[in-house]
Amino acid sequence: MAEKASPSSNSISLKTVDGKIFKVSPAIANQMLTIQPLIKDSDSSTIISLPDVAAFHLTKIIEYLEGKPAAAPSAVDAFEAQFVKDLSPEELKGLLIAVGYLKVNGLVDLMANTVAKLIENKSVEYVRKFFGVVNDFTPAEEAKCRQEHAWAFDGVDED
Amino acid sequence: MAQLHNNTSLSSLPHHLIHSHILTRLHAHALFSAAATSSDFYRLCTVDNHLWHSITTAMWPSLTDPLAASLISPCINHHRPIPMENHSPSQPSELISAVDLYYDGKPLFSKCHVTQTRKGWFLSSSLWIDILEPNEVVPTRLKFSPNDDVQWLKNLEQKLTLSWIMIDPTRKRAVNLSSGSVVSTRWQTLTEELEVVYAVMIEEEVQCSVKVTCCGKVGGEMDVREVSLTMQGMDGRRVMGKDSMVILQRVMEFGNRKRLSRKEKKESYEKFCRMKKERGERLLKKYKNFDLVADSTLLAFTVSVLFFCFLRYSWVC
Repeated sequence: MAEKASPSSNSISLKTVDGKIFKVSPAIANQMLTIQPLIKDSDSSTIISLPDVAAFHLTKIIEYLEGKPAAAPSAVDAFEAQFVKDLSPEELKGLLIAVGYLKVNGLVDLMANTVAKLIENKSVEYVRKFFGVVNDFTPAEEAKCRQEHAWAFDGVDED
Repeated sequence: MAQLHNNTSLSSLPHHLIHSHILTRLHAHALFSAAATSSDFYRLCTVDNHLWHSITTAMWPSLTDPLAASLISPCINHHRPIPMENHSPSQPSELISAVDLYYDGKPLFSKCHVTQTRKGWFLSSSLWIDILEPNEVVPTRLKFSPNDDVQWLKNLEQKLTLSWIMIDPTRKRAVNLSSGSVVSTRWQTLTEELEVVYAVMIEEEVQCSVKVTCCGKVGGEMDVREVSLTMQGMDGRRVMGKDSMVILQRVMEFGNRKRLSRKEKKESYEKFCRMKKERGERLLKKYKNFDLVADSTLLAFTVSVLFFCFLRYSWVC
């Protein structure tokens, strides 16, 4: 972050869905596009509620925004790889919902890329489990769907 | 923690996140897996033609050709034709071949080709589609090595892949007729050209084979001179154009091919060649036996005629 963190008196208070309050600098809060309009009108006593964000996710978002190197793409790549390395699929999904809600653009891309990579070359069952989706196809419909899409897999190597 | 496990036919993730951020980043395989998870996902994956278009053209650049571009839509997969009482008029008047040659996963050459299927010459001769014009040569920017460079050939076999999508534009059906990976290579000693074969069994006794002929000056750049498709039966005979249409329609409609590994594809090709050879030998043996019978019959007949003449002569005398 190029900008210097503002004094604590100037910080923004964010309240997560599980009741925890985080104080962040305006420079960090401004990168969350959803709450940007609220920041302008707020003072140090205002607490902005984030109904879709849990404390764990906000901690990670702040960690990302504070830690992301300002320049050198290779340093950013290394930082991002390290950032997503230890996230479980469930945490990844929760974080994607949180950053999608807060509209933290760089992080939405990173999360979406990570999710896409995770489900790449995975079975239908895995994708279903990952998204928490219930199969509402009848067995006949499912077989038809798989068969119709099978042409695209023909000749594609898995090795 | 936010509620993450509300199992529905869609997902706990908001639609717009899935649609504009995740699905757009998936390759075709993963997109199809996602489409097969639930009816809502299916709708989400197929509702947007742009999504489909960008994924398919990234995977098969040949589909950007105007010939095929209009055909790319999710409909190509999920609109079943209305069953007709009379099946005869359902044969398409043309077939579109969308061919992509890749090296190390990157497109090397892509082309779309239309084959007229109602012409007499197509129906009455054996199926042979060459997507290049008679004198067309495609430069590849790859090195062309002499025929004793084993390492180069091995590398080429490993990295040169091909996709041949045959599209029936009237029924909106498609099938990939290539094995993807190389099943065989052979040097033509006379012309010093390399033939690379991609073959796949499309029916129990029918093999579809794509031959890519590579030429060039040793040490110089490799060119592709021919990319042609043929079909062969187990008896070694080429499938005629007329019959190939029936087979192709059957494969597009009901075909259910197994996904094979590179090794299995090669083995399947070798097995086909072996069986074809054995059948040929059996046939040859049969003909030889037949010849033997015919020869002995002829001999017996000649001897009996001579004997008859001799008897007649001695009787006259």
